[in-house]
Amino acid sequence: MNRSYEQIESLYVQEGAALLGYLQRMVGNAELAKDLLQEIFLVALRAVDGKSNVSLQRAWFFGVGRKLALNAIRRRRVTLPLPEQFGEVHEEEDSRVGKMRDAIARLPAMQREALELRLCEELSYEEIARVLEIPIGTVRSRLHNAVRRLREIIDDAEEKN
Amino acid sequence: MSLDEKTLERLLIDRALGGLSGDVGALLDEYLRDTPRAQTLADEIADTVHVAKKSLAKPRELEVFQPLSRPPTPRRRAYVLPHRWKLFQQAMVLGVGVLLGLGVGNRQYRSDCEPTARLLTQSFDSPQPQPRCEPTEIWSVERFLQRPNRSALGSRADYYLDLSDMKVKRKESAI
Repeated sequence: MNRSYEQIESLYVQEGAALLGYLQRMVGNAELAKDLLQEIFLVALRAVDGKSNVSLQRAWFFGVGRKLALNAIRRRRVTLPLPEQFGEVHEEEDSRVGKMRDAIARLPAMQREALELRLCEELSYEEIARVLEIPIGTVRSRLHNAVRRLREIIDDAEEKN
Repeated sequence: MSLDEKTLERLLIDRALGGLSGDVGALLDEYLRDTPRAQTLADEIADTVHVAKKSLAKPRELEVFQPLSRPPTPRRRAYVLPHRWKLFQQAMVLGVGVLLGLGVGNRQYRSDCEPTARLLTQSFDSPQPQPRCEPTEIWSVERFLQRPNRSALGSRADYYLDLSDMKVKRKESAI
């Protein structure tokens, strides 16, 4: 078997769950997310067949997934869900988790996306920059602003209580 | 060493998010040990990031994500060989049938006609018409040639007819 195919297969096994979670968070539909996951790997296989100079790395798959998900959202008018729809709510969990979900939902979309890629998918700053096709400095500033904004929202909520 | 508030906050956020290089992280840790106020801020930011990570938990179904297993590759030999063997058997049966049919037909044709024995009994003065073998098969050349309209038989049939006439004449001259 071609080495690139083996690489794609191993990436599917390793990153499949992370990609599926990312897609599901973006489109808010489990079935559509699964379809998009298959589509990502079809794009990868076509890229390998076409001998295009593609570096099959984690960030590349997330980048393709993001574009496909955005296209699906545009085509099917999928509404972006709020994060609380996805998180498992455990009663014994920290009470601040619910507040934090609200706070994350209120973040600007660009900041939230960068934060999710860092905290959920554990992509590095460089990988996030490649996925979002923005400079690494912009990634850093979006993450800083996101964390700062979260602290402000949480502090405000605690003061109100 | 002193850091301004904004720079310190940026560094602490990067530290909490795991985006700080080793050297810078070590220097920052040293600074935090010497500055309790900065340590408090670092703890707050780390706590915020920790809770944010918890709140972005993945759906439960993703924990049981099963990658697709490779479908078993079809065993070509298992399908191709019996098919070919069956065709071969059919061809063999057909071939044996054709050979048997030809053999039986030929034997019957030869048993019906005995021209040499009859020719010897004929006299020189009264030439008798040549005994012709009555064709027994439907698809025999003889029967085909006995058709009245010779011109309609085609060039190949004419050739066979001429050939048979020549044979008869040659035998007559030999006698």
